[in-house]
Parts: sequence; C-alpha cells; structure tokens
Amino acid sequence: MELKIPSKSQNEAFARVAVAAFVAQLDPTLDEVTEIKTAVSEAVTNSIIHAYEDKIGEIIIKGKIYENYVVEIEVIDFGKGIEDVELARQPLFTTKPDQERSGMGFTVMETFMDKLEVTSEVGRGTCVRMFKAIKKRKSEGAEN
Amino acid sequence: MDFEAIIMEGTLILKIKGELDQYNADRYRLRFDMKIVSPEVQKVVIDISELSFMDSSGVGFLVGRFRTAKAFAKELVLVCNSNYINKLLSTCGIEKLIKKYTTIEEALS
Repeated sequence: MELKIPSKSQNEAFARVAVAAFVAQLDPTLDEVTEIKTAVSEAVTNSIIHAYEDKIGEIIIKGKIYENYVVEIEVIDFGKGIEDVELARQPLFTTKPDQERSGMGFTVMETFMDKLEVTSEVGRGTCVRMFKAIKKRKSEGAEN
Repeated sequence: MDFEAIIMEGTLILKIKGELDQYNADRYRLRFDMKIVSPEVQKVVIDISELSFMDSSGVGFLVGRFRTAKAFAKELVLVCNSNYINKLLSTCGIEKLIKKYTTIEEALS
C-alpha cells in the first residue's frame, strides 16, 4: 500500500482512515486499529507541523503486511529533517512549546506500536517506520 | 468534531464529539477559550467520553484550555470513560495536571 498526500492538516483524518482500512484485512481488534490510527496521526502531524512548517510538501505513507501478522507502516516526508533524533524522541521534547505542542508524539507512537525506527537527515527529510503485531484471534468456531 | 456547551449554575460543560486532532484543535481553540473566559463561568467541565479519536495534538489542546482556565482563576476538569483515551492521557502524563472523572455527575459534585 502506498499513499501520497499534501501536508495539510485536514488530510490527517484521511490518512488514518486509509491505514485503518489497509490493516482491516488482518481482522484486528478495535483497540489495535485505534492504536495504529493514533500512531499514524502522530507521524503525519509531525511531518505537517515540523518538517514542512509553513509550506505544503508531500507525505508518503506505506503499508506492508508480513506473514506473521505484523504490520509495518512508514511515514516519509522531504522536509527539514530532525537534527537530533534521540533528543526529539524524548518525552515532552518540543521545538514549538508556544503552539500547544505536547511533545509526546514519538512517545505515543512508541507506546501504541511495538517498534519504532526514525531516520532523518537535515534538509532531506524524515522516515518513521513503525511495526505492530496483530494478535491472531481464535477462529469463530472455537469461540462459539 | 462537534461540541455542545451548557452553562449550569456557573459551570460550563463542554461535551466534545468526533475526532480531536491537530486540524480540529486549530479550528476550535479560540471558540473554546471565548466560552471559558466568559465572566459567568466559574468552573469548566470538558467531557471527552464521546470522542471517537484523539492524539497528542488533542492532549495539547486540552492542556491549553486548562491553562486558559487557570489564567482566569477557574477550575477545569475532564470527564472520560474511554479506555483508549485514558491510555493516551496517562501516556502523556496529563492526569498529574488535570483532574479526571468518569461521569459528569462526579465532576459536578
């Protein structure tokens, strides 16, 4: 799955819904879907607010499903990049405290997903890769 | 996102429905603050039980409204009975800052 959207905040809802629809084929629980949607929303918001700031750029969202029910979501932008990724991932760290940014975006992604990788180059852009294992549900026959 | 505002005996109840993300936070910030600073309001209750989605931008929005209320010496509390949103709020450490109740009745008492 690959999706390309302009970095406008009204596209966040669309990005979340598209990823949720993609993940639906694994029959996830409502909680699992909501957690993935939240993580996607955080990554897309970061690209809009921080990577592109006042200009509109391109955000690419990729989705992959592995055999063992693991979902991989990538959110890629070509914005200004992150100088110090380790620092940016710290809870409460924000470069925009005046704009009511909570500084919890990466922490939420880490909490709601199983694994988070962030690669960034100043002036080139940022790629956030997130993984989550969807728990295999009992077959319907076994439940009834 | 949509909301209802009711004032009852000096308490402003703001019930938010739908999705609280960056887009909606930007759209509703000023409208909420105008209601919070109104002189007839002494206490603010924000009910987020019926939100279908919220992320950390929503958390930033709630903290922002809490700060507005505090600047005008008003109390602001939250009502939330959604497991998912409670997990988000505790991940962001908001419970240390803003009082949270599970029902409107508890928040009003």
